[in-house]
Amino acid sequence: MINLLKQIAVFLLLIFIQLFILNNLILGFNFGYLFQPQIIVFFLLLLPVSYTHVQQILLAFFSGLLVDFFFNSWGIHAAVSTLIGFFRYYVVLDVDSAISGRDEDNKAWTSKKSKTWKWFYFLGFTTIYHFFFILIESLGRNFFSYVLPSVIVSSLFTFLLILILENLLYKPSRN
Amino acid sequence: MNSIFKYIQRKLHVLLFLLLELFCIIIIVRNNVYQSAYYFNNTKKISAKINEVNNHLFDYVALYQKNEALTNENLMLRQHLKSNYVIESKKIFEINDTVYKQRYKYLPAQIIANSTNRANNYITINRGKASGIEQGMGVFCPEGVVGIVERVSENYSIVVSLLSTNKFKIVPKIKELSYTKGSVEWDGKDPLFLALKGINKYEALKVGNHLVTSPYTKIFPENIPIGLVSEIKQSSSDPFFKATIKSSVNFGKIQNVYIVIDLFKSEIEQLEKQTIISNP
Repeated sequence: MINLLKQIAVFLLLIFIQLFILNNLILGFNFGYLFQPQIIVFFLLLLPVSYTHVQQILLAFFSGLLVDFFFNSWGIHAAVSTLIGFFRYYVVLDVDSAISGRDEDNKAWTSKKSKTWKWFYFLGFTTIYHFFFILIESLGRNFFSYVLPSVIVSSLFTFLLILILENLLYKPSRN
Repeated sequence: MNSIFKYIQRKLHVLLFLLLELFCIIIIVRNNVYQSAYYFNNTKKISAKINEVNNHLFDYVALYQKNEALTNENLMLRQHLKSNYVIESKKIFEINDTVYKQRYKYLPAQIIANSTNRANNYITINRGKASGIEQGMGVFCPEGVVGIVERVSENYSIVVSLLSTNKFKIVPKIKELSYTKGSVEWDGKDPLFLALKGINKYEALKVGNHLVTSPYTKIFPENIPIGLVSEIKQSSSDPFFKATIKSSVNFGKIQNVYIVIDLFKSEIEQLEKQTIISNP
């Protein structure tokens, strides 16, 4: 129950950050339009691993749809979120098996992992999320002059933000 | 059946994922203007391409039928060609006027055979006795005088054309002088040129004067063009001009002609006969 409340709180916090901070960040240089970080990916990456695959997919889909309601980007976030929710399951399978049976689901499972794994996990999925999100949002624009730089800039910034938030929200447990 | 359900249950997450993605794509396309424009532009392109390929495929398959259809169409069009048709109408057009009593009637006809390179040239037309044609009727075309009917069969007649060296002479009127005298005939050389003879040297004949049919012929109505004076020769021993006339009709090219029917001909002839008999 506490876990669920925390999930909802994290979700609302992320939407708040996205809506009031990130969407209002307009960088003052020429290529500022490339900067479009989507912090909401963090919520998807923190979904409890103990959920079944179907649950995870549904949860990802509905959270994406909810973000779409807020940001008026009908279906784009939902599509990418569902994608992340589907493929993330396979990446975190071993995490599930590692912590299953223990009463540690309430704690953030990411803190169980090594720092390198965590970085790859966050950076990889952030990049995937931004890649598909920007690709769908800017359909038909030049890939190399618009999509790729935008993906790199946005996902790097989001990655940094995720590292900060992760450290703030989940303190690593000491074994 | 059971195994299918089991399979679906096992792969439920994949099915769910695909369904949700499909749903997402649908709402993206339906609700986002930019994305939907992109989507529809590209699907139009793809479907056009597919249709094109499809058409190409069936083009080759249907070639035989198409060939057949084209052949039939060609045949049909060929049957409509003008050359296949003979004017069947036996109608004679006339003008009814209460002030002027009609003297001449015209009958349209087509030329079937024609020649210009002989000493006496004949034209065959597709009108005969059945249309009311008799020997001696005048034939002209829109450009000018053509000739006189010489022989008549049931449906065809033979016309002596103006290009005849010793059969056909016509008395012209010089339009500019209103002077009717002399005769126009062909010298048997150039089918485009005729000769004018018998005009007195003291007349003011000039190059460029128009020759038309005179009011005194019983064959043609007045003022049908014959030609244009193109060259005038005079010698001191001859009291008459020798003029070359450019024929207004290109005899090699005529297609449609009109036959003149003189309604008063028999009356006039009868009158003339009586006069000759009473004054021998």
